[in-house]
Amino acid sequence: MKHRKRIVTALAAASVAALALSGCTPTDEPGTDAEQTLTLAVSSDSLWGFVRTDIGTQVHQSSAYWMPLYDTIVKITPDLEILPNLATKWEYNDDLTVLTLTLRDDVKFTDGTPLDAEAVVKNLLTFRDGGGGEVTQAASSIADAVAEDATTVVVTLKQADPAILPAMAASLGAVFLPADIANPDKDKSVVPVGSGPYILDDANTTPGSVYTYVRNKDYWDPASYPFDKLVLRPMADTAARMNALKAGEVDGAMVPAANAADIEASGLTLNSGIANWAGLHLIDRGGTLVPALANVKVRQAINMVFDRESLVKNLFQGYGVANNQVFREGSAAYVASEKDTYPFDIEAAKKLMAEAGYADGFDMKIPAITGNHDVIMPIIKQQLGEIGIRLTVDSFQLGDYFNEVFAKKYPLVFVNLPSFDDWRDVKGMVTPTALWNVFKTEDPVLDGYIEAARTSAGDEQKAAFQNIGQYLIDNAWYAPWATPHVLYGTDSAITAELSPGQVEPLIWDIKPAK
Amino acid sequence: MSGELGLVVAPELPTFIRQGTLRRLARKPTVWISAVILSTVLFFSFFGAILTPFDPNLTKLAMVNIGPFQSEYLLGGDRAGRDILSRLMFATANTIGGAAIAVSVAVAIGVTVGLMAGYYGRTFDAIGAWLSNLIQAVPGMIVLIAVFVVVGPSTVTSMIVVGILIAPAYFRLVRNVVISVRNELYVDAARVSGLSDIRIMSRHIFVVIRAPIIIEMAYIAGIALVIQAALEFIGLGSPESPTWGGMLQDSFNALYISPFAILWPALSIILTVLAFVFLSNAVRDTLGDPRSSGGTARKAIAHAVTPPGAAELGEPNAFLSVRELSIAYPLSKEKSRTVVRKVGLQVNRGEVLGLVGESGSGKTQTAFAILGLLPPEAIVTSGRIVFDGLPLLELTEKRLNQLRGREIAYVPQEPMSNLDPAFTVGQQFGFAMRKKLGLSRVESRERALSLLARVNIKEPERVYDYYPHQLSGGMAQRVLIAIAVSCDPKLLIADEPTTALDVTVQAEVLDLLRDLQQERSMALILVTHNFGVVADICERVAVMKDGEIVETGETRAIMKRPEHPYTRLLLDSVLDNVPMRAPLTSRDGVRA
Amino acid sequence: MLVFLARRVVAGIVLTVVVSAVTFTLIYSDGERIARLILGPDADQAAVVQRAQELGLNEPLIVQFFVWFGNLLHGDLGRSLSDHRPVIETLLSRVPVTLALVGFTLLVTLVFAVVIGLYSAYKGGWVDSGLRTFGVFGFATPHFLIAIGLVVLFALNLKLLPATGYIPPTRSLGGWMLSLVLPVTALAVGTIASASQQVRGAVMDVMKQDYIRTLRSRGIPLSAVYLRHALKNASAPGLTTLGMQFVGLLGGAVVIEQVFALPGIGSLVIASALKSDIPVIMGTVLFLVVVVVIVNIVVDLAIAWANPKSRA
Repeated sequence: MKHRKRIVTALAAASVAALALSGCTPTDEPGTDAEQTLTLAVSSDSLWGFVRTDIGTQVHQSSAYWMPLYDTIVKITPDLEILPNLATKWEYNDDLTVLTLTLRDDVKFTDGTPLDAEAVVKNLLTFRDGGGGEVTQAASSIADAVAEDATTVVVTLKQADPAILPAMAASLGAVFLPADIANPDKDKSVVPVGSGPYILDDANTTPGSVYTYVRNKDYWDPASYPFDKLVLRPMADTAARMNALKAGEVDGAMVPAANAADIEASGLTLNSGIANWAGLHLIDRGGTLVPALANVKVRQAINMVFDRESLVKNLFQGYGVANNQVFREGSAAYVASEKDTYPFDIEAAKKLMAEAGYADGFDMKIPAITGNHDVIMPIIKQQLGEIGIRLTVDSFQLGDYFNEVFAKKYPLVFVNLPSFDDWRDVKGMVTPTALWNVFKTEDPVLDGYIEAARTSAGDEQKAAFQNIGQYLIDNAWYAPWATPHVLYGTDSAITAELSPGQVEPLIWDIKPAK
Repeated sequence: MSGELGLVVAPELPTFIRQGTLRRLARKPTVWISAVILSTVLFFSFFGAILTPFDPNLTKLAMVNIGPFQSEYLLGGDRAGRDILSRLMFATANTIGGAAIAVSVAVAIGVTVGLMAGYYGRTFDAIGAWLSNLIQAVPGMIVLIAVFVVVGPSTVTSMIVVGILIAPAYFRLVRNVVISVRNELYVDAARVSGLSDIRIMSRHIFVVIRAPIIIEMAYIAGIALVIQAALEFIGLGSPESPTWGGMLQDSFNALYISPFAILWPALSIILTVLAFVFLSNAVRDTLGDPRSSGGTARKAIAHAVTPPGAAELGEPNAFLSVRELSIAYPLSKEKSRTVVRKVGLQVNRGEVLGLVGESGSGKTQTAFAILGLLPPEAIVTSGRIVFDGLPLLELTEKRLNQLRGREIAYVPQEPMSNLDPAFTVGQQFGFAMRKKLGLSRVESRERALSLLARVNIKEPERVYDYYPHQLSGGMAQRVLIAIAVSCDPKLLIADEPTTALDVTVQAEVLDLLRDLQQERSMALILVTHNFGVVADICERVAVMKDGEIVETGETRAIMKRPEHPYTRLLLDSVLDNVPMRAPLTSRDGVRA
Repeated sequence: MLVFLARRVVAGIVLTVVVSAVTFTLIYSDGERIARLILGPDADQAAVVQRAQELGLNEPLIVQFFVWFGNLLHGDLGRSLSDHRPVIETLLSRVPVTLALVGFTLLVTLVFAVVIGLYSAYKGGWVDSGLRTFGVFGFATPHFLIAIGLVVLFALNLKLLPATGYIPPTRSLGGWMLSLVLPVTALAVGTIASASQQVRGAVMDVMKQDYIRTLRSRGIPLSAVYLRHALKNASAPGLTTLGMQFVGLLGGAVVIEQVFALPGIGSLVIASALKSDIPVIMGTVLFLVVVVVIVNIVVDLAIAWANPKSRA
């Protein structure tokens, strides 16, 4: 055993020696240099090769990788205020179907090509005609876009769309080099050409491990981006991400609720935001697969088997707010008076089931993501079992999961769906064409409310949103549990703010601490 | 757990279990502790699902991540608010069942193919070996991942794949054992008596491979458990069928909220794997696998030497004197078997002593005792060995090493197995001479070449660079003799130096030994079972039977008037048995 | 020797083709699924079928395999379904990480396993028992537990070593070595544990050979007998073990790369498996089989060195 001790000592000695030799810790201490480096752990790897066409085809692509490279048409604040960016000014016509954007005239792509109205038009139209996904969904209301002159873009909408401007602060607003768009098949690993605040430092980038960005020297608004260098490290493994954060190897990282207490105890700051609503999405509310789900009483009963407060406390470690609606508290479509509708009451739920003629319950299948839904599925299964619903859980890999969901093979899914703002949420999951209205359920009454909300403004619009909210809760289209908080841990070198709907802060919302 | 699929399973094992094995096993604490753990695990894998205090799938939100010993959830609650204890018990069946699937598949495939390959040889063997190599060349974890991509999460499927991946270990084990027994008499007899191949395999061969298969099972079950845990950790497990590995992964995600939760599945896995491995090791050890203990013989001897008597150093003019030497081998803590009993010998300078007896009479043990090279487990229970005034049994290993080679040298019985196969003839000369005589590389080469020439090797230069496998038996024995005499020893112990050789070569080697002995006036102890050899070469002879010297004296006198009946028997066998006389006649022929 | 080498190379190529074919058949069996994975969940069925046709995914598997194999001969392994990079490029960027991790682990394993195995065999008694027990524990404890323990101790508490990440040697040699210390240690504990037992067993097998006694009868000290003779003779089985350890390590690397956020083949294959990124998985399998084949040939050559008999 003496032998082993010697080995251990030797090993420790060797590592100390190596430390001395290298002369520095492996990552640059942020804030110690005159040059400021921001190092972030990102929970997903960059899924795309920095070329535009790929953004649209991916569900839930992290914006962290492309936002430093590509300027968006406008910006959005955590309070959902739209700020100028590439567009200095925007104007609607009276019926909100024509949007006129005025662009800066001094922006160039990093290859020298001017970023003009033509480039923006080309981008918008390509997204509209793109291969699907959430960006094409966002662009679906665009009828046409034309460049009036070099700095003026006129976007004609098929119908009023309050979500179009916020979308232009996200991937729909990213402006890519028109030449790249024309030639999507060119080698996708080359350094991308954008007009954003940073350029990719290819020499210090290892795909899958480290993406390094350095300043775009010609950028028109350097003051909004205080960091000289940006280092993004994809870390899918939670343990790795937390270790990196605690060891000071990254300045910021997304933190699961389970690790929140530990991160705070380690002297790091937890920033919280609202990204999603969590709960059951009763997508087959029309009864295509499971006729019972067409019965509103059954859907209401499902709403009543979950103890929302307890779920928040125990499942989300208290990071979140119990919510029986898909809209977050305070938003226009949130119906405050319905706050306590569908309380946790198994007996009442059983009664509803009996009234609906399903006293003996029925069978249903639910899809699950392997390794992701392991905790939630047993709870769902047990609670639905309380009212006789016999649930079978089918597990899928992440890659197949969404295909299964959108193939309309399952009547309900557990979701963590983005919660941006009223109109974007309605557009994303309520309208007859919405991506997340999987079975495209429709009701003329609801359509009327949606139409009203889309084409109106002010109090009138607020009333319309209230109608939508009221309709959805009355008809129990969903069985929401809560609005969980997303948590983002930061060290003392930086501060960060989370925008609604984002699981990680947008690049312009990260600032050096004093 | 890295070894996972790369782990080599020890291929050779004893082929039968001796009586009393179980009793001896039960005496080891590791064994019964392992047995208790494994029986508990086995018990729960059958009855765990019935005995759980709670429904293992019952989720209570209030119990999410609750710590141990704080509620009715004795070991705490998991991330979904389920009782960890109940789940552990419930998951035992899946966990052990998974391991059992892996083991069954490995046994079914490995044993079947191994039996066929071993029994039929040729094509079957070639195909089996090729498949086995194929499977072993594939990284197991990657295969499991590929399978996952195709069939999705499934404990059963992944364990079947693990079983296939482990099967080569069984294949090689069974194949080697079967080959070694295939041609043994009883199988031949069975074949002659008209039994079908299947009957032979199941009746005779399966009996032999049964024990090693069972021992390996425990080990492989341990491997399967470890792989299961790793699969679950990287997210390839199936949430529908809880296993300990899955629980470990689950609690790992809640490490900072409920740090104790990880303890229970981790302990379950580690303890069960330990129990499997320890049990397997212990059974193997008890069955007499020599790997069970390391170390060398010296310690045993040193402890066992009888304290020196009153300055009685033997016959004053004897060069080597062995007195009252007894050697025993322990059978158990209390019992031992004495193989050499109160043996006394005496050799004078330049004298040739024949030590005669049939195999098992203890003559070789006596020779090894003089060299200080008894096997580790041997115990010298009494006696003294004095060589040139030195009490050999009391010398340090270092002092003995100075004597060995330089003063006392040794020529073994079986030439082919006594040359180190990894080094050339020249290197083996060098190791001895450069150390003993302090020669340079060049000097040692010259001396070795002349010695090779002296022992009648035709092309010394070429043979010098040969590896042992390139030599014939006769050449190898000459090389061994040449190395033995290379440092001018004063006493040479030759243990049946001709027995393993061709009849024609035997005489030449004997002549060589005798000539060398006379040239160098070495003392020579010739250990042999052949009185013919003794008659010609030895001045004196000692006859051994059952560990005792039954008769000793001048060769001529004993040949003429053997007193002990055993001596007479040995002598008769030489006279009656023509092949036994071959050395004599052929040597005469050479002389004539 | 050359014939021997040639035979091994041919066998290796056959093996590679067979394994590729089997894997290909398995994971390309559902062409529409792949087209669906490319197009995303909201593409309509007709588009999926059309895409499958465009990509030749509706062809018989054997045809598809030959096409894939033909492209392979031109160094083309196709493109990832998720990031659209050429698979070969992704592999090449990740290979050095895994090779460094596994290579260092093998090196460490070799040194420690030989030292511990020899010492265990030589000393016997309680030292041997102790080392064997350590071996069993090292074998029974899952990698990731060891890894987490190491991170908590050396990275988070002592702050001696980085907790995550990989630094290419081209950027900083010291940083590269530092970034590998913990992963290599975590991976090596298990392999040292089992390899030292193999070395011990092999050495003890050799030590009971006749020639060992004969060597000792020539007064060669026991230490030299162990270090020179037992070790060289035990190296053939030892090297075989090491070759298999290597195969096992490639699997172990999958887990370790996750915990330490190392961008190697292991984390690639996990991410690809979870995303069903089939071309990447196919490329990874091919690559790993080739590596294993090469390693096995190297091991055979090394055995030929250690064991003159096998050269024949």
